[in-house]
Amino acid sequence: MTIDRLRREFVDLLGRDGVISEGPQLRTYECDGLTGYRVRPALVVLPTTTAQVADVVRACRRDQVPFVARGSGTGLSGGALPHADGVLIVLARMRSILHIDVENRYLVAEPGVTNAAISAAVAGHDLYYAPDPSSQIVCSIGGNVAENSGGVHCLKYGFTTNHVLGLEFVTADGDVVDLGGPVTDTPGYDLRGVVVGSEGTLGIVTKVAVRLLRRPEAVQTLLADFDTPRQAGDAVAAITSAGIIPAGMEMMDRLAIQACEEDAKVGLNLQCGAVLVVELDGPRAEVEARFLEVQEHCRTAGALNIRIAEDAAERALIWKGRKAAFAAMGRLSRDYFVQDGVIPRTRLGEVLERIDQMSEETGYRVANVFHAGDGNLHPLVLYDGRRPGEAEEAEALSIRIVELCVESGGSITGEHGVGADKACSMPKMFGKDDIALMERVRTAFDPAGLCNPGKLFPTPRLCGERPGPYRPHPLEEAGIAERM
Amino acid sequence: MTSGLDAATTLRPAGLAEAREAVLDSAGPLLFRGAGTKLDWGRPPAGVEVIVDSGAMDQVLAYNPADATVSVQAGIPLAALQQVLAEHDQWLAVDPPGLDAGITVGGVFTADDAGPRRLGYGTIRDLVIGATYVLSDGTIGRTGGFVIKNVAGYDMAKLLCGSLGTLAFVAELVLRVHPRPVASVTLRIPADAGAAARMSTLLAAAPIEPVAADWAEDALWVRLTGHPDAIADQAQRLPGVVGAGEVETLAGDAEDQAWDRLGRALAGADGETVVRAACLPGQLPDAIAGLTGVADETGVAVDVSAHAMLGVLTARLSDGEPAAHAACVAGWRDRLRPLGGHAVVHRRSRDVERVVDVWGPPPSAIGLMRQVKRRLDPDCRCAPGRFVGGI
Repeated sequence: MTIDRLRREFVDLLGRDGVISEGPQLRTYECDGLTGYRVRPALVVLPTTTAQVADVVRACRRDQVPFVARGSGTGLSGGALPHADGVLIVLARMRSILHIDVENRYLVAEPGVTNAAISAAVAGHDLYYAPDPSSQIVCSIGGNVAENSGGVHCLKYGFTTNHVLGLEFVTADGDVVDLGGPVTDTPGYDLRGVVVGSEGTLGIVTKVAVRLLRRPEAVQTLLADFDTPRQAGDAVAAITSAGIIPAGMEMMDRLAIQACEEDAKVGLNLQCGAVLVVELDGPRAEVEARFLEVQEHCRTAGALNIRIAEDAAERALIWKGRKAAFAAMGRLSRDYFVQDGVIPRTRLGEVLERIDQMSEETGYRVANVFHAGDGNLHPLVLYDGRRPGEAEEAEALSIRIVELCVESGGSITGEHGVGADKACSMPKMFGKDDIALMERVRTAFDPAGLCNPGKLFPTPRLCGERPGPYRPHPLEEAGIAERM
Repeated sequence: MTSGLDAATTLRPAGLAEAREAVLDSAGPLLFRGAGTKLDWGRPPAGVEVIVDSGAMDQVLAYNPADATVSVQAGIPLAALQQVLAEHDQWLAVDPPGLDAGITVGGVFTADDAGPRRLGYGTIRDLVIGATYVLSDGTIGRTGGFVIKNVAGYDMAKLLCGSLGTLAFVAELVLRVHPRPVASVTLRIPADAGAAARMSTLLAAAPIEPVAADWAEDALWVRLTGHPDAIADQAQRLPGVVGAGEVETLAGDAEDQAWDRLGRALAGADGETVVRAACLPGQLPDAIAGLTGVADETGVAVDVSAHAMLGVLTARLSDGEPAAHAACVAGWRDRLRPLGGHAVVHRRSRDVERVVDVWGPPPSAIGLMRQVKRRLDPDCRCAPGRFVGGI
């Protein structure tokens, strides 16, 4: 009854095409990039202004109806998984770039603007937005804020939290406030800092001011082949010990190389045990001097071959191969779980060997793609969902791998977020009090607990349930998210 | 303010468990203290009964040079930590003033204080990857972890950073450290505020990456660090890029001494009111003109410097009565407001806070800030009244 009344109210507010309440259309929104979890929302709304978002939130609060914000739906932890009795607030129609200030190097965008569109909008001024998650062509800046997205260049440049200057924010009460802003050092608590990465559980971001960086003068990228991941790991250690902070440093093992090569045809050596991609950027003389050192460290660690990207096109191809790694895995295996764990980078060798052992013991192949510089691993556990029991066993292996990361002094997630997927793993990493204190902050923002409930925090109900197996999302099949 | 603290008991815990006991020692108001160099930041807290001093919490807990992370007790002096890190050619990439006054890592964190090189590295906010803290009810919380990349749970460290001890006692911090630059050079280019702002804009548009660019002492000081060949190349191109005529190049001791002097000026001296303000970098000349105008009107002597490419200004007010300083602060705020800027009094001299709010008008999110305070410090024991809006 309540939902029906809300539907009529929202149609008045947003127009008929701003509200979705019919089954087939609702289905489009029942999952994000983590397709094993599916919930059909009671209502979907597509506001186009901050005022409309605030009105929707106020109505939800009045009727005590949960609401979930969603951007492009590319998240890999189910952070935008709808609530069955709630309203899904899709921000994809709020996709204007509102202001570009070249002199002061910032840009203000609505939350539905894609990550890549921001850099594209300022490319003519030699500026760009640094965080570059692999899904950057599709994923929205609002979603990046919710997840504190990183990307392949975050070792040197940091994460979303280091590049967001200010937010316009609709509170769980429906008030509109500013958190930070283009002018630095706003007096007061750094609420912007806690909202970034809060996975939509504190309120809804309706504008984002981001810092823009000057494009580096020079970029150099190399691909180095090694017999074993351990040798590649030695090269990583040598490079970082020499005081070099590469813009990006990525590693792939043999399985991942095969998948990428079939997909992107980068020209990777299919015989080697590991490939390392190292990119340096910055002032030309700095990059030239350091790039020679990097090559030397790779050779000393046992590189079989070093290929240097000749031009921007070849560099782009290498990164295309790397960024396509998850999707390319479909060529090797019908189904797979994508894991996202972090370890101190010095533990890389031993953790990889342990993952190998676990793979042998269980009989499931594990492909490894990772951001080697910051120890962020993406083991992909391959399985065939048609065979009974495989999905459950493969998922159990995937969970054991992330627990291994925590035991090695790392984290349950480096960039995909906790969401619905890992809420039950939070106690592996944090104590009861640690989580309770986060809940106090959540209550400060959202006393009624209506804002994206069931995410991030472990609850008995949540942690007693099992997700379904992986199924391809239409977004993956089409290679693109829905574009309104 | 210090006079108001005379009646308080000082406790010096040596570790996390003792810190918890110290917080629970009384039911009254608490003040958390590091080296004590920023006790006059914010408003004077009311009725402090217990001062929890982190001076005995001065240990490095774990240092992994190869991971570029270090875990410390919050009371460790920054200078002592830098010494430990220097043995492995690393450093904590912050350069706030007060190194020789014994500033602690925890103090720099809770004040989010920074120096010129925040241009290149950000502030300590961007370098803390984990924290352990004690609430006024004795609850111990951990946030983050030991790895640089980590998005598990809320980033509670962001709340604590810059909170001036009004939410919790920060006991331990895990920090990302950086390689020490191989070489450094600084160019001094004579410039008034307008010229400095113009040059900063040109510099920002050029493929030159300074780690600091301060306008002070009627000059723009630009620091370049990195590979010796690279900084030589950039230093050679820089004057052409910004259209500078006269340029002085500093290296070695002369360079260090110059930055030391500029850094000290940020902290101010006894009897001075220090105001930290911010505006968009392009509005620097307007912000400075606004300050000098209002200083003339109020009869206050001002000395101002700026992290020019960030739009962060530090003004030191001397001469004149507290009322004049207060009028100068209020007047400057009026002129910054149309620019979207703000000004906060850091160093309160001679009860200037009785005449003007050190924080200025509260931000639009003050309601949420009060809620956060209420949930984490429900009895309002942590430095009551010290923070924005009387939090």
